[in-house]
Amino acid sequence: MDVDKAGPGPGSARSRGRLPAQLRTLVCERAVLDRADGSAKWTQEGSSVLAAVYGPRQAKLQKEDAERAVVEVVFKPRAGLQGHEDRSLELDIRGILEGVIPLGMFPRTSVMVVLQVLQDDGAALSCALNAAAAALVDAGVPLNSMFSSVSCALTSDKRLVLDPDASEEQAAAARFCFTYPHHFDLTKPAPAGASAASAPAATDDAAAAPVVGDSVLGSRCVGAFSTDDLLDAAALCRRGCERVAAFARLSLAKSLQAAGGA
Amino acid sequence: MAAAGASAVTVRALVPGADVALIERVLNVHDAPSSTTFVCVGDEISTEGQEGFLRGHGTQVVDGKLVATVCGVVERVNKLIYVKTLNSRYNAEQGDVVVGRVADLAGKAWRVDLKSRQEAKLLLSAVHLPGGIQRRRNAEDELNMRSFFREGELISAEVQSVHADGSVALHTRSAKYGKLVCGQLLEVPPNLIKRQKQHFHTLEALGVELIIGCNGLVWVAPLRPDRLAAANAAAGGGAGEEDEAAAAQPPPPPSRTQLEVVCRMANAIRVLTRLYMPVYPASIMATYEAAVEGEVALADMLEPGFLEAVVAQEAQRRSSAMQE
Repeated sequence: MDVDKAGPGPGSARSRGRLPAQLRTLVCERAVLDRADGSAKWTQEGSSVLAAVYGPRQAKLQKEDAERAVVEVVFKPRAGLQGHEDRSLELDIRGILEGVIPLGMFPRTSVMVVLQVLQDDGAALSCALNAAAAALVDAGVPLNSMFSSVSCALTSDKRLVLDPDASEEQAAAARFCFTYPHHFDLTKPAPAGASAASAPAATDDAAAAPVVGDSVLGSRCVGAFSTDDLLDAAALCRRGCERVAAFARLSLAKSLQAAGGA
Repeated sequence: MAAAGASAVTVRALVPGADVALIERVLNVHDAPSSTTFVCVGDEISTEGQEGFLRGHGTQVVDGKLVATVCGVVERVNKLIYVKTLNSRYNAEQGDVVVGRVADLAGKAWRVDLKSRQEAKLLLSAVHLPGGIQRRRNAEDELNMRSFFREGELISAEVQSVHADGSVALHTRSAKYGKLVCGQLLEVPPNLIKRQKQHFHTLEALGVELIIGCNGLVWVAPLRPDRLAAANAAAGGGAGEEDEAAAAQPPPPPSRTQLEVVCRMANAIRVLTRLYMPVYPASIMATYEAAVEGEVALADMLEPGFLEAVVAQEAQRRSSAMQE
């Protein structure tokens, strides 16, 4: 799988000359909603998802668990009512969030995450998970680790493309979405002997490279593919997650600075 | 956001970040200096040079290292290390004065919503009975619980204890705590409220009663004779006969000037909330007096013009305080 070959060739031409392993432009806005505990809007060029987090707050009696917090996810499509696909996405997202939130810390509470798809141009699940991560940080909900998510698609001529748009997803033989945990240290400069990091070490402030874990938090795979395709997709998405993590770090540092040490 | 004009209503779109832009514009500051004490989820917090430390909110111990679970600023107070976020729900501590709304009645206790992670419990045995006598609560008291507090009523109380699973027990064992009627309730981010010696303030000169709840709910009301009596009783110790008589009479309805004063105080607190400044009596009074001296109309207090004046005043106060 030589996805790093420079220059789009015939047969693998992506829209606007994107490289196979190139992500779209990322934009993250935090604290966009007034009444939610935390909110964020994550945009990947054509796809945009608004996430709102309410909690941890008192859970309803029927839903409360005496020993741990309960995570509720609502995934709303861009148009129309929720369908079975949306319910299935809610289950996936809930599983991933239950892995990062220390549920035992807040018994009898509920954390509700509402995701509204504003624009859908492919990779909506990844966009939603990234928005949820930013919203959870904005709400101040304790987390075990940060996470980022990236989608990739297996085209009909057996090439993997990262961050597919809607037309590429429809034409794909298989679609993958992987979520990896990551952490970065905002206090230390670039650590010596860091693991595979693609972010260049520039000034001391931006030098701390994010470290993406090896274990997968969650995955969602649709279509026909071989085991080799699956493992290649997992590795490719892991590299994509490094770039998303680097962007998340920049965006977080900026928003913390803007608010100042208040 | 709407501001009532002479006969028209103005509607302005909500621009996120407009308040931060306003502050930066007034202070002539762009790109605030970066601080190195920000931490993110999973970052290790250094505990070097400290033999023992107390682990506070936003941290957990992983493999013998102290690790942050939220993104924010590391604060160290003596031996306590915690991470302060910009946004968070109220975390109850013993002895906090809080303002809450009764959500439910269930078997010898009221459940009170404090805008925290869980609803707090106010036991029937922890309520101040009128007359100040201590006696066992019997079945009749349990049936008459609604005569004390009904669902939906606002009360002020103190946190008696916080259990290991996070549940909070309240008590109103003093005449100054109890039901709150005829006033304005404001919601302020709990991070802006500092714990102080006094959370009940009776401003007799203005005729206003102010309760700053640690959970971010602030109560502003016209001062009534029975509340003044309760405050005096709590301060002086022991209720006098005249105070009891004053409490028995229904209070007179507040005048228009009194209501305007209450609204102005409430707007002063809203201004502080918009500018993310700490809310405590001195800052509220400073903003209130700035509005009165500047002859700012009640409806104009939330306009950018007055906000800029408050920012400039605070900047001047801080720079002169630093010079001293």
